[in-house]
Amino acid sequence: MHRVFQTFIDRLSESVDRADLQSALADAAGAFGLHCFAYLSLPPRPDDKPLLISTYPTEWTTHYLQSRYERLDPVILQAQHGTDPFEWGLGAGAMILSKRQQQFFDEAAQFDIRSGFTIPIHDGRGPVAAITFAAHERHPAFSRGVERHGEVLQFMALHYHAQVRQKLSGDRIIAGVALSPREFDCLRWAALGKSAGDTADILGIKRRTTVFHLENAKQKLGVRTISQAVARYSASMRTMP
Amino acid sequence: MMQLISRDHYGEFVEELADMHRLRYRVFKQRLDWDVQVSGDLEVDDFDAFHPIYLLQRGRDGRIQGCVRLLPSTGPTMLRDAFGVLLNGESPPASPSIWESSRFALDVHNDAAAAVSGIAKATFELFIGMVEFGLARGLNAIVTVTDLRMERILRRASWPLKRIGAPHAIGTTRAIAGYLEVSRDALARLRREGGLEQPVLWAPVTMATA
Repeated sequence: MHRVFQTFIDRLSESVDRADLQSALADAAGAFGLHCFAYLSLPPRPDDKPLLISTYPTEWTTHYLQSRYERLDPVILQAQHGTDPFEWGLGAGAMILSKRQQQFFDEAAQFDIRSGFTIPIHDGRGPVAAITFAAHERHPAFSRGVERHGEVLQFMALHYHAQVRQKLSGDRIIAGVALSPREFDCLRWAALGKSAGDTADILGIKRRTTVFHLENAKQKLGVRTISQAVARYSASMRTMP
Repeated sequence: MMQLISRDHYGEFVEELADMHRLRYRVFKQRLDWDVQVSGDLEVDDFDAFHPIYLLQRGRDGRIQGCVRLLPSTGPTMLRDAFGVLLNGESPPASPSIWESSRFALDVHNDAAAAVSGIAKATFELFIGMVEFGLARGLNAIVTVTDLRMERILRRASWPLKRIGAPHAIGTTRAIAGYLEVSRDALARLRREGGLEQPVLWAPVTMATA
């Protein structure tokens, strides 16, 4: 269990995109006997799309997002009402569902999603995200996994949310171009004269990851060399208050 | 007794870290009602994602009753990224000799041992642990954002905060940024005031085997 968590931490810190973030949690959850998960981050503005990272069947997640199901999904609604983790679905106690919601659950069941364990995440302003570990039915291995590892899963969920926020949102704008926080950080250290190796040490990541971020930054800025990227960076810093 | 947990040991001490996040929930959410991110009975924020070093303080019953989070000032810090308003126009410190402390929390029983100044011994342990950490790392200061109440406690404990700017209201508190001295003198003063003569900080010396 400790190794699983350590590996999870290490994988997360090396993650650069959604795919990495998805497999980091998928592998950790899998080690606990939980084979399906969905991370849903609620948008700050109600009309925006939520961020979904999941190992549910793609056909279901596409349908879910297109139908804006996060607005009626009883699991998401319950996650918005309280911060305590909860189990749902077959054998977990009845939920009072509208006809539309019952229809929604029937649709999910067609993709073998029938029960799960959900961890809500709230901040001072209210609900911000939820992570669900789902099972096909109330399988004994699933319940055991949840019971034995529920606390660590909760802790992992919060840590995961913090990492996703860092990696996938909060762009930094330079000359009208949005760089990710990591791309921005690597460029900032390059502007201070640090080599990729030094920057990697400072940021606690691998050198090749730093190089990867700098390459992406150059590509986004439409330049060929680091010096040119640094010049763009410095120019944009001068215009900031 | 103080324990240091660094990123390479998070796995081995995952239960201790969960206990720490529970302590932080009790202090920052339940007691102080700050605008913090929670789930169940845990508090975790964005800066925990940067793999800080955590110092945990245990009571006589072995329970984790104090904690503080440490981040290098050369990377993302609360002062740089969240509380720039407290810098009074100065640039945030960014030096290998300065680390930032945050999420300082203590939840001791009412009958806990207190030193002469009326400050709990556990508080001194946490302060001394921070200075020992700083000396081991060759730091000359720890920068922190704290509130006026903690600033008074630091002064009474003889580890005064050197202010960067004036206090500002942040949420429901009056927050202030400043430097804490890391030096043998500071360590000696705290040990004397706290009645603690031996080293308090301990860290694992090996990694878990593959």
